[in-house]
This record gives sequence, structure tokens and C-alpha cells, in this order.
Amino acid sequence: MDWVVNVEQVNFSYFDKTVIKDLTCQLKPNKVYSLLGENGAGKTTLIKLLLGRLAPLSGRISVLGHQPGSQAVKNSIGAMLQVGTLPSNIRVVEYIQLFQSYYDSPMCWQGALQFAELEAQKNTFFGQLSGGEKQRLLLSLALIGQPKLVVLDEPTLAMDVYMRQRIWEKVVQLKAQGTTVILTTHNLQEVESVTDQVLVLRAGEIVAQGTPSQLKSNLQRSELRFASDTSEATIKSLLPNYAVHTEGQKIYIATDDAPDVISLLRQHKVTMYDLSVTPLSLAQAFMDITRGGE
Amino acid sequence: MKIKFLSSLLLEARLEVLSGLRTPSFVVPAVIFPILLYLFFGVFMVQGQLQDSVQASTYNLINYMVFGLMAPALFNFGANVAQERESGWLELKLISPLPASYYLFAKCLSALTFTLLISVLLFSTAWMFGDVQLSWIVWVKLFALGVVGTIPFCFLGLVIGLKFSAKGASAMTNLVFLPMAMLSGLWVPIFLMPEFMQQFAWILPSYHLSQLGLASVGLGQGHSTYFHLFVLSVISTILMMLAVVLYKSEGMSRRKRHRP
Repeated sequence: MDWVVNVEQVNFSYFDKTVIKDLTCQLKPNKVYSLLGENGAGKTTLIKLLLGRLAPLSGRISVLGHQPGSQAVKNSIGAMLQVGTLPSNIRVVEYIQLFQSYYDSPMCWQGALQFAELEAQKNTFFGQLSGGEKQRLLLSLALIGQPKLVVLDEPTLAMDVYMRQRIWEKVVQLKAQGTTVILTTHNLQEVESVTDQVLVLRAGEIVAQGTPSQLKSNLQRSELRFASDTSEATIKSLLPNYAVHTEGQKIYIATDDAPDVISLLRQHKVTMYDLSVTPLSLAQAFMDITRGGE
Repeated sequence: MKIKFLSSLLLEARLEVLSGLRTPSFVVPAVIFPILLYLFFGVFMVQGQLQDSVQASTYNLINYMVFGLMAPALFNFGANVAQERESGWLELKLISPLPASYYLFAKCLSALTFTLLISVLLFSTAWMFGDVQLSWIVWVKLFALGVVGTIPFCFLGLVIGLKFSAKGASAMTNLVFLPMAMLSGLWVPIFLMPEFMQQFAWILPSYHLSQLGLASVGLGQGHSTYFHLFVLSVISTILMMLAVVLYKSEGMSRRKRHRP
């Protein structure tokens, strides 16, 4: 099979609001894909379309060669979604055994407990688990069917730094086992080390795509920083297509062409004290692109 | 029913029952309350009334059986389904290979298990302490009636669970449960109620179920058994169809489709 996921010109709307717009992408096996975008960019909707929980208005989606939501797909896909809470008076091992019973060839429940590092908590009620333990249980439920494709919707939400790192280690482990992983995140830097391909979504469209290093090189941007007697409003009017903001006494301008911007400001007699030009961090560059800045 | 998922269904039902039993705020009112009410109204209150005690004890037994089976069915479906729908727990199950209907089957099985538990406890209490004299055939009939009679309340609970939010469903279940019990004559004999209040009973499944039970011991209001069966079937069918429509619109049995 060439593709694990094949999305062709898919459109989806919630009533009158277009959420996915003419989206096309193909995902290869044994890779880790990160869907990056702000809230409302269409990440969760795309995930729901892949899981067969929503049907596209137009276009075609194929997952593992089948229609999303079909029994064949359900048996080969695992998902960790943003679940508010599970019934609190069920034990960890009971959840794992329940989900184990759903699949054709699941891993043994002891293996799932071990993977989630919850052996010591196996008889603990869900309501008594810490936030990180709850997330790990949800991860183990997603993986117990030994899926070929795993979807992780913001898997590190509300986790501390140590637990985040542990989750990313699990993702690397999954890839090593031949599993394709799709994860959604707000923060590329966090997943940079585990991601093979990044798809940046904005208003339901893919606005950038590539390996993290390709995207980084395409996003070589700088930030001008200076103090000025000229007001922020005047500078904004001179640079309508640039992200301009003020923090304290300093004005910040994100640009991929710093010399031109400086020369334009000088032409308009904008005073610039303590001028510095620094490369934008990756996170800032992505914030720009996901928010629709220049 | 696919054999492969039979073990999943039984596991689901087992966890539903365990979850209920591990929740004192559910198990005490649902299981203990009907027994206590029966002890009070069907045993202690009728002691010493030699002429009527057998009738009163039996009458109350059947009414509290109906009252007892309503709560697990309504709450298991009503408030629980709404809560699990909102929390995303249902979503996780729906993307798993388990057919969507099994989730509901499991809830139904757990409601039936509670019906069995309540019936056994209630019948034992009546047999040991109440002035109830029934043949074993009637005991079996009542037992079977309780099990089958749980189903319309499962549908009603499901309609509430699919229609309302978690908080709304909880309130709505109480709003349906308590007046329904009252207006069906489960607490106060229906013939003692004002005429206009008695009219509500015609549309209540709990009334027809209790009348079927009472008719089997010769304490019914005199309407035909077939009439009660017919009305109960019609109400059940309407509730089932309503539940199916809501179920589908929720995308629980098929994929959601939003059109502009």
C-alpha cells in the first residue's frame, strides 16, 4: 500500500461555517505526522473525518485502503482523543480488558499496562489517577488493538514536562514498531524531534507542509526590535502586511526582509533607537504562519 | 449478534453493573429505597388490618416492583448516556470496532440486572415479612413482567439521554421519574386520586405495567390485559422510534453529516 491515508479535495462545513476547504494530502506508512494549527484551524475536524465520525460534504477519503469508519479501519486504527473524563469508578485494568475485547488481535493487557507504565495502578479507579496517568491510560486504550495507524489529538495536554517527554518517547517507540502516527499539536518545537512531516492547517487549508527542517528553512524570518518616538499606529499604517506589536517601550516587527523594512521606515522618518535584528524562533515563525501573518 | 463481540457485551454490562454498585448515590436510592418503602407501606402500615392486609401487601409489592425497575432504567440511560456523550467517552467507544448498538445493549442488560436484583430483594422481603400469598406461577409471572417491563423505561431514558445535556438530562430524568411514579398510582392507589389526575395515567407506561401486574393477582382496575399490553406496546414503539431518530442524528449509529 502506497498511502495509509489519502485525502482528495475534501470539503466539510458545520452548517454555514466552512471548516475544511478543498483539502488534499497523502500520508505514508511508518511515519509520524504532526497537524499544526491554532484552535479552529480544522485539526480535530480532519481527525474526525479520518476516524469516520464525520462524513465529507465532497471529496474522497481513504484510510488503510478502506472507507473511514468501516469495520476494517476500526480494527486497524487507534485514537487518543481529547476526552473530558471516563466513568470514575472503573479500575484501570477493567478499562484495558474492556478495550482489549474489542479487537481482533490485541496486545495482552499486561503489555498495555506496561507500555502505559501503569502496572502499579492497575487496580486504581480512574477517578483516583493523576492527570498524567489518565492520559497514559487513554494512550494505552488507543494502542491495545496494535493498530497500524494511531491518531493522537493533543496527547500531552495538561501534562508536565517530564510526562510530555515520556509520551514523545512512546511515539518514537510506536514508529519503530512500524506504526503510522498522526498527532495534533499547537507547539511544533515540542514535537520537532519525533515528527517526520508537518502539515500546517489554517482555516481548513494546508498552508505549509514538509519536514520540520524544510519548514524551518522556509520560515527564515527575523524580528526587528527598536524604541521609537513614532506611534505604533503610524508604523502599522506604513506596514499593513506585517505583524507589528509593542511591548513596553519596544516595537517588534516580524519580517523576512529586514533591510527593506528598515529602509522604508527611514524613508518615512521613523526614529529607531537601539535597533536590533534577531532571527525569529521557530515557534514564533509558526505562530505567524498559523495566524495568517505575512 | 456477532459472537466475537459477545464477550465485549458481557464485559460492558458487567462494568455498567459494577459502576452502579460502586456508586452509593445510585445504588442506595435505586435498590434500597423501593425495599424500604415496601417495608413501610406494604408491611408495617398494613399489619393488624386483618381483612385487607393480604391485598394491601400484594398491591404494594407490585407497585414498588414497578417503581424499583424504573429508576435503574431511566437513570442508567438518561443521565449516564448524556454524561458519557458529553465527556467524549462515548466517542471513544464509537471509533472502536465494537458495534455502536452494543453500547446500548450493555446498558439495557445492566438495567435488567438491577431489575432482577431489586425484584429478588423485594420478593424475598414480601415473602418473609409481608402478608403476600401467591402461587409460584404468579411469582414467576411477576418476575418476567418486571424484566420485560424494564424495556420501555430504557427507551424513555435513552430519549432523555440523547436529547439533553448531562445536567439537563439528570434534572429531566427526575422530572419524569417522580411524577410518573406518582401519577401511575405507584405511591397512592390511583382510585384514591382526584378524577382529573387519574387521566394522566393512560399515557404512562408505569401505569399499564403496574395494572398488568395487579391484574395477574386480581387487583387491577378491571381493564382488559390485552388493552394494557397494547398501550404499553404502542408507547414502547413510539419511544423506541424516537430514540432511533435521536440516536441517528447524534451519529451514534452512522456518521454525522452536516450540510450548510
